[in-house]
Amino acid sequence: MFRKVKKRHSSSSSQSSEISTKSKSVDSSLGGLSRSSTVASLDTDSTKSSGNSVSETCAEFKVKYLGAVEKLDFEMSKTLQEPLDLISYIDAAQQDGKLPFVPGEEEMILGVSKYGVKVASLDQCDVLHRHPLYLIVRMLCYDDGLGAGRNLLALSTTDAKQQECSIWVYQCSNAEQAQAICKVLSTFFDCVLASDKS
Amino acid sequence: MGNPEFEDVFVAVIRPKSAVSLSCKEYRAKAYEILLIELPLEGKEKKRKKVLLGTKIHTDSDKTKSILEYVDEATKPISNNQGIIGKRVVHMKKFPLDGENVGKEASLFIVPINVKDNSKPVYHPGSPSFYCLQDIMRVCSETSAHFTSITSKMLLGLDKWLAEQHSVPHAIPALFRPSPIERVKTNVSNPAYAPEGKQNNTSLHMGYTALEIKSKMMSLEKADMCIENPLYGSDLQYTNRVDKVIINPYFGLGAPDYSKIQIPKREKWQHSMTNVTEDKDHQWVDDFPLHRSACEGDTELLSKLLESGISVKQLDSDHWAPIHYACWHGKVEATKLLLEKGNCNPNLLNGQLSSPLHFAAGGGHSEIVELLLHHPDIDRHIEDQQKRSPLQVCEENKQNNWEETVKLLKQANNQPYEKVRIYRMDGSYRSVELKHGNNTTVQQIMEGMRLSQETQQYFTIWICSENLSLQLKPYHKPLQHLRIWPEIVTDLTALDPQRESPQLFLRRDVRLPLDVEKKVEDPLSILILFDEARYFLLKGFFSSPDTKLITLASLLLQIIYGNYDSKKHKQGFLNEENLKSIVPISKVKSKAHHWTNRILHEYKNLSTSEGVSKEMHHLQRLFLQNCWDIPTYGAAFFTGQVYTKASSSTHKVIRVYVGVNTKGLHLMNMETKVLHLSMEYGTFMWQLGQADQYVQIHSLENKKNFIVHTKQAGLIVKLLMKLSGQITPNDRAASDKYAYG
Repeated sequence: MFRKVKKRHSSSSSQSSEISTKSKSVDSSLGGLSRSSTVASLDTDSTKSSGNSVSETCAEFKVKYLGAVEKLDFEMSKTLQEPLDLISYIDAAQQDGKLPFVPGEEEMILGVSKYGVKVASLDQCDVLHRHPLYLIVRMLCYDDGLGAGRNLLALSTTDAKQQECSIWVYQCSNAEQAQAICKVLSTFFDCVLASDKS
Repeated sequence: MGNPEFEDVFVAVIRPKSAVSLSCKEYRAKAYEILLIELPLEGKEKKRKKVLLGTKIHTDSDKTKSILEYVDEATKPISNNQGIIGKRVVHMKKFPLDGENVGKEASLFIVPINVKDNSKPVYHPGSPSFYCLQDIMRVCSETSAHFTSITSKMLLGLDKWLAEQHSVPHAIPALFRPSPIERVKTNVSNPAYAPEGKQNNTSLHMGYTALEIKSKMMSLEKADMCIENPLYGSDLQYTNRVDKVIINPYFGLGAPDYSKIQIPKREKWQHSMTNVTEDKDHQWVDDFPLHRSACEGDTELLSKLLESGISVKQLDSDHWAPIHYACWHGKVEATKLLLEKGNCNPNLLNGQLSSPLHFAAGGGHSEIVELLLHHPDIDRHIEDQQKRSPLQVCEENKQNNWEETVKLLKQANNQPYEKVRIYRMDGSYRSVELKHGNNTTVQQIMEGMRLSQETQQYFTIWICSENLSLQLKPYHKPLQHLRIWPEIVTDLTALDPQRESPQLFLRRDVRLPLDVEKKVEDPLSILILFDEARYFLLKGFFSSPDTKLITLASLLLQIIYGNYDSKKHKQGFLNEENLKSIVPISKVKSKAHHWTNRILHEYKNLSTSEGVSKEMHHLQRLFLQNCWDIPTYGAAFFTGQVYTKASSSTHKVIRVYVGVNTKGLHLMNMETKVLHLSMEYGTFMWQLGQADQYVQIHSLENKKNFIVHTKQAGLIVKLLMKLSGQITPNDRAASDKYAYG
């Protein structure tokens, strides 16, 4: 059963993020896109003055959880640096039965903020995964190739000591949403650098 | 061959004949084509064998890449030099080799490719070509001559594997899905993880190195605020104690008249909702001003409040008295005021049975401890609920000036105790140490009297003022009775408490049976009993015939003046002054003058009588012997009033003494000392009146009723019950407030 998800992602540092992630829910991918463009413009300005700045927001998307390959040796992550290698690896894992081909029916909220990526149940009461921003190595969006036009989101993360890596796969409802998630995350990577020079 | 850096691999390039076969759930070999190479058999020109594509690749190379390149190269001749691009490389499994390579293994990789197109295949000798899988499998067996043995094994394995894959949903479409390069869309890399190889200090992202970026991102993980539960791990016991219970007093009374219900002002209830504890404090301040002023050491207010007559004994909602607050908070002047001006008991206990000395010692307030220790009534050995002394409490808490306090408490143990005078009925007294200050009990005082065991059992401590005498119980604390005597007097009489000054006496225990007294031979006990009997005789409490009084008077003469001397003891010897010391005061003026001859006569007879021992205690015992048959001997006297109907219109109030002893009940006129009534137990009944304000007596002999009005009715009835045997000493009520254990 790949639906078995951990209640809480065992991140080595997971104290604070739940406190301040607060936002309007962005269900449509367009919302995410338009936001990211705003952020892009803010990158050059100082965001300190704006109280409700984009850096404090959290974009939320409805996704389904496909599965994860956890705690791979960190050496392994080096061979997966190329996007195509990562896809090949996930494909092979699917073929070997280590990952399912299609996700379960349950929808989840994937929130992206400057604190990273948080996946919670629809009512937001149960946090399934939390990927702190600094532990996210890459996010890859690709077609699952099964003909239905489904897009998968692969998130590769590491741990605080960089001793192992994990791959998390979510299915997006459509291509636009998948693109939007990537865009928002990309924006937050930059946003963190732009927001505070200290 | 045998080079460790190379590995034998076989490749099964397969393609579906049509796209439809991909979605077919059932496996049919004819839906697929496989790429095989025909090789001529050595020595036999016409015989050929088909084999799978095979090559050697570097063990540490990128296998997928190597294999795809190999397939591309190998298929160039058959497809117009284009080469076939495999979608992916799937490792099926390893097969053991035979022949010269026995003991080694070779992997079979499956390379799925695009669906068969319509282009005409080009046959090129020595190059691979596609065969229908079904045709191949039909002739394939382990020993088939059409294939090499390893190829046969692998083809059989492949056939089985494909069948298995068909049973897994999505597996076959996934096998033939486009290669990753065709499906990848967006890649977002974290700048904190610079790609391997490019990682050097010069590659900056927005002006930051990867390490800087990572530390920035990590800083986001730090908490802005951290609140710890201060009680966590404190081992505090969880209690589900209820803070407040509000019961609807109207519940069950039916529907109320809503028109009469007034809702309190909004500010009021909002206030009370939010500030419950604050309100509680306000309430405390309002309800217990003396407590607060003691707590804050506000001596001015304290003094005023004391003048207004507020009781220093009042306990607040926590069952503390003001002095406990003053001692706990170290308010020296306030404590002094409470003790001196408020006449507060220095040993006053709070609801938790701690004394002011415990509070002061616990707080290490040496000045207050000194103040308390110098108080004459202090009980320096007082213990709290846990049986701890003030010294222990002080050493446990170690507050403020505790070292000095410890010193004081230790010094105090060497100080002499305060003493109390215990009088005898002849006016002499003995000073007894009060080891426990005003907490010293009757029992402890009796022990301090240094009487013999025998003597002790006949006597006990009484507290007596001019018009009220009460016998105390062994556990009573006589000094506290002395302290509150005015209250007791007010409680039990209509007298002015200011005119009643109490003292402690050693007196006959009212419960002492005459049978026991008759056997007493100890001279000291006889002396004390004699003194008491003489006192009552002279005060007129022994109502008896004249002859008895004359005999007693002559005995007293013998005891006081020794043997009769005709020269000294003449007619004029018994003047009024001397008479006072031998006959009841009530008789001195009225009758005694006529008795002098008879008294002297009996005195003379007594002195000259051979049969009478002149030993003092023998004479005293003789005196007691004469007293024993007097009805009121050994009685406890109470005071009360009896209303009699002198005429039809007016009734007369007679003030009476009610004497109760082991014989019965006796009613005596207070002024004339005439005994109105004397009834033995069994000849009368009694009943306590309403609110303990009177006692009703019913004589069984003459069927007469009379009522004695007195605030002491409760005490009278209790003593009657005790002495008549209705209450055994064992079930005495512990709540008896004043007297008669």
